[in-house]
Amino acid sequence: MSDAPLMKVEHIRQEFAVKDGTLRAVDDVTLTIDRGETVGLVGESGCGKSTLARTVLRLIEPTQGTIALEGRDITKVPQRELRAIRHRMQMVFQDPYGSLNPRRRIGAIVGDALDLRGVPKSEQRTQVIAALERVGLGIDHLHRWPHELSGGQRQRVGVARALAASPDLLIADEPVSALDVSVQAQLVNLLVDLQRDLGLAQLFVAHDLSVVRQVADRIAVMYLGRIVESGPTDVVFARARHPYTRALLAAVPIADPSRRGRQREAIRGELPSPIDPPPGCHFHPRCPHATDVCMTEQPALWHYADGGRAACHHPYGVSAADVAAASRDDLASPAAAGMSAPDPSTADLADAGETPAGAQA
Amino acid sequence: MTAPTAPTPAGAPDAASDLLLDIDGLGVAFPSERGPIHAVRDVRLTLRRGEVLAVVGESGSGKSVTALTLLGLTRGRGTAITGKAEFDGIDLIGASDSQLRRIRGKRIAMVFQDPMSSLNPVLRIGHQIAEQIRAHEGVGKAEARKRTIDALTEVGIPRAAERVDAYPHEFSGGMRQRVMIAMALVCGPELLIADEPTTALDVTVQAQILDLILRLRDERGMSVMLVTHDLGVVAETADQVAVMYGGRIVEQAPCDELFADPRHPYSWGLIGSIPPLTGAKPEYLPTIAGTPPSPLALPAGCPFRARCPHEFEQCAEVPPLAETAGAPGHLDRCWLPIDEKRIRRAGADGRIGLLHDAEATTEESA
Amino acid sequence: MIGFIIRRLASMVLVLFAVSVLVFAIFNIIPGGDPAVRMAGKNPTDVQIEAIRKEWGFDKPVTTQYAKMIEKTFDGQLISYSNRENVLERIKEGLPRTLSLTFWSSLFMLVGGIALGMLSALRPNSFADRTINAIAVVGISLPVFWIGGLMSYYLGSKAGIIPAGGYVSISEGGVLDWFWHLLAPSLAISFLFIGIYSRVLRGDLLDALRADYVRTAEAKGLSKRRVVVRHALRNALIPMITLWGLDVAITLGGGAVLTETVFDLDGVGAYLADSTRSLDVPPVMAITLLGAIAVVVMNAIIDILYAYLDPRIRL
Repeated sequence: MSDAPLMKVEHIRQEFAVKDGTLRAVDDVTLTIDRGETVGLVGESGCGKSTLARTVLRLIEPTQGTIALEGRDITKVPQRELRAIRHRMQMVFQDPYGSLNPRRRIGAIVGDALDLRGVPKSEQRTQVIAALERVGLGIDHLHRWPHELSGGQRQRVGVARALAASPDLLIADEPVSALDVSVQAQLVNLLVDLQRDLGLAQLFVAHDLSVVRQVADRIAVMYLGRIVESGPTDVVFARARHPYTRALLAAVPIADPSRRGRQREAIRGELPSPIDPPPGCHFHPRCPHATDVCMTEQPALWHYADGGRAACHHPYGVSAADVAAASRDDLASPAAAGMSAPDPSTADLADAGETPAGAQA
Repeated sequence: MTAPTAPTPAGAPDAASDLLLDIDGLGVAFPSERGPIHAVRDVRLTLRRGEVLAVVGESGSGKSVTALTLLGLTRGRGTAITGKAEFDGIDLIGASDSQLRRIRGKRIAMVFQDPMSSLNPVLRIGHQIAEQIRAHEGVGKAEARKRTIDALTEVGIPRAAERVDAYPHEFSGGMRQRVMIAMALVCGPELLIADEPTTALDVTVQAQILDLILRLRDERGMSVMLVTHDLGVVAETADQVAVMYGGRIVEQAPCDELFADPRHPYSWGLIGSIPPLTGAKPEYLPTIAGTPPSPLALPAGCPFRARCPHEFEQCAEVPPLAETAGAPGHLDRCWLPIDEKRIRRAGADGRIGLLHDAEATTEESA
Repeated sequence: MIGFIIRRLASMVLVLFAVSVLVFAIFNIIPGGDPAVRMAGKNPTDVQIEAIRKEWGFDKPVTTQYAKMIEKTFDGQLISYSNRENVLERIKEGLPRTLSLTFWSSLFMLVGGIALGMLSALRPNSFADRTINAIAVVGISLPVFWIGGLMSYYLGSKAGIIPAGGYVSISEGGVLDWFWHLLAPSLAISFLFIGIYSRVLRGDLLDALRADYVRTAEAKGLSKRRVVVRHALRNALIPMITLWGLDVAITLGGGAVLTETVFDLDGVGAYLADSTRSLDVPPVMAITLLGAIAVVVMNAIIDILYAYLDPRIRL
């Protein structure tokens, strides 16, 4: 086993031709997932998080960049060969209704992955049952049809189907957002269990920050195709540096009426069009702290000593010493060469220490 | 069994004149091949002027059906609607279609979940708003258009005078929901029914829309009935809360009360299953076993029985929605004694929840 | 819009080319298709046939023959092989008849389809709905020549309620007589389409009535009529209009072959029928091209109508 991370995507760019030009859904994103680690990918609709997840699996070919599985570059591996390694990366989809073939029984749906892996028919039944039991279903679901199951059960089938392939990496795209609240928690616990018991690495794509906090070891926040902040979950939730992350956290409604009066820095305006994103820092038109540099220069992703990374010219809670100790992410674009360092002087404009959500490290 | 008393607002001498909506014993049953489906049973709710009432529940709880029934939108062949629903003294259940039509959009307005599908894709938004004004008030086209632009401006749509002629697909999701709200408010309704108004929206937009609804409530003294599944949204907005399950209200309380002292096991489950955004992170979330029941297959007795770990013999009988001594306005539908509830709802970590995992520990307690 | 017109014109050229090659090829391949033999009369000598070949250019390579025929078609010089009359002159005579038939039949289809479709959708599974469904199935399954024949014979020749056939132009008999002669044939064509349209519209209207925006319209306190017509029907009409446009184009392009023959209307369709029977290529070619043009043009009109009905569609 090599030292390389389980999955590493570098400088991924994903462009689509649309009627009015080119839509850059993912813009120079680098992301690693270690063995047994759950990475949460968050952002609002249209930020490119689902596109990135599909690119990792090569369900969409990246316009630029590399995808490496255990250090092996699989960006250019032909689809036919890819099939041999695809079982190591499995996907769970958002829609528990649309993602299961209504004309096939549960046992057959889960068993597909076993064919892919070349498991002999005689052993398949046992393995299918094992996968179903792993997700809290059982032998009595083997011959049922998808329509006979509830949304939560179907989503469990989706997870079982992925598990049957015995993957190293599970890519879950909004796996709980279509479910009822009481069922969401069950699924979240299941995913946490899979990581804990099977050492399964996960890329967990979601818009619900509290769910991501529950499952993820690290999180990455995307805005208009770029990662604006990432780091260990505790660091990001307790000391969010990017104003967008702060705005996202502040906007999450908290199920505690006693905190209703808390100060909230509401984010202004609407998400700009990804076809013609604002120059410089994409977030500047909505940012309360934007200055001239934000309008012209794309901020680099700076790595801080606590493991947090932020692409912001005026990050929260960053001292001059922090900046001095920080290092910069190399960007693919040549424009990145002369980029300025984050400005610690304007960093503490507001309550610098604490995120609006009020988390304490 | 003591007859439950209606929740009376404490310390409000002129409460009767304040009362805008008075629902009692409301039942809605839809016909099906297998007999009537009781989507809503014995619902009792009151809403005072200027108040925000949240109706919380999961799919199949009857929350949306309750809301739609107030506007007569569940009427149809074979639907049996029983009980009382009075709006400012007007009987909404017995009202004729044409009587209801005069109230809809004028005195009671509604905002729906998905602003894309709820706006007609082939008509200009200005037209869709203006036709509502003209349906209720004898105003000319020019006047209706002017008021439409004013309404769009009020809900924060920039360049309303230009955007009035745009089609729904030319707006973002958040802007579309603003259009829906402008449409709902254009005739100055006394009651706004919002059915999952932010569920389809991103979290930052959700915050904007909820702020907008609350601001308009404050400015106009309008009442709001907010139908949602999201307890976070409830905690941020509601004055009163009713929790529905299996077609019935299982708990009803002032908002602060419900979160501080939830009485019904289902409420515990709902509150517990929300992953906390701050503070200690539980290793496992308390959950509710199973899935919300279909109205077709509700258990006899307490609707929550089948998923409740605290179920006992008495649950075979439907508990009344009753007030517990010492907490006026806080009602629940559970047979457990109050002391028992307070012990059972707390997990090892002190958090409220229904099913605590045996090995649940707090990660950051160290 | 300019881009749209250019695209449509380009597609028209393509369609016309394909259709004309096909027609030409078919008539050159089928046995007994040699026009010179038929034109030469009952017992022709080889010399006579050869002479005709030379005179009409049948001795030239097929590509040259094809090019010549297309050129003549657009010049208006096309001559029928069987009776040597000018094809386009003959079509011009028949066109008002076919146009009149198309006008009334398309109106009946549209009005009948919408009326029955709405009636069905507003009271699904009611007695009216089931009756309409039954009639629609009958209408769809009945061959037009059979229904037309029955109408012509029983209502026309026997009962004398309507004319058994023939065509009277407005200038000859006034609007009323014109309409009166076209009533039966137009209805005969329409039955099938009313059946289809009412079923199509019923389904789409039921979907539209269940749509969220219709619920919104109801919640606004609009009248039932406005909710149905303004909000539901407008959206539901789009698929039906598409079918209708194509059917109109086909009738216009001589598609009502049987009806025109049964009712002795002597329009473009009847001419097409006669020419095909006698393997007379030039009229068949001209009428087929006319039909193709009608379809392409109607398609463009439908697209414009589409864009009007649904602003999300851009031309």
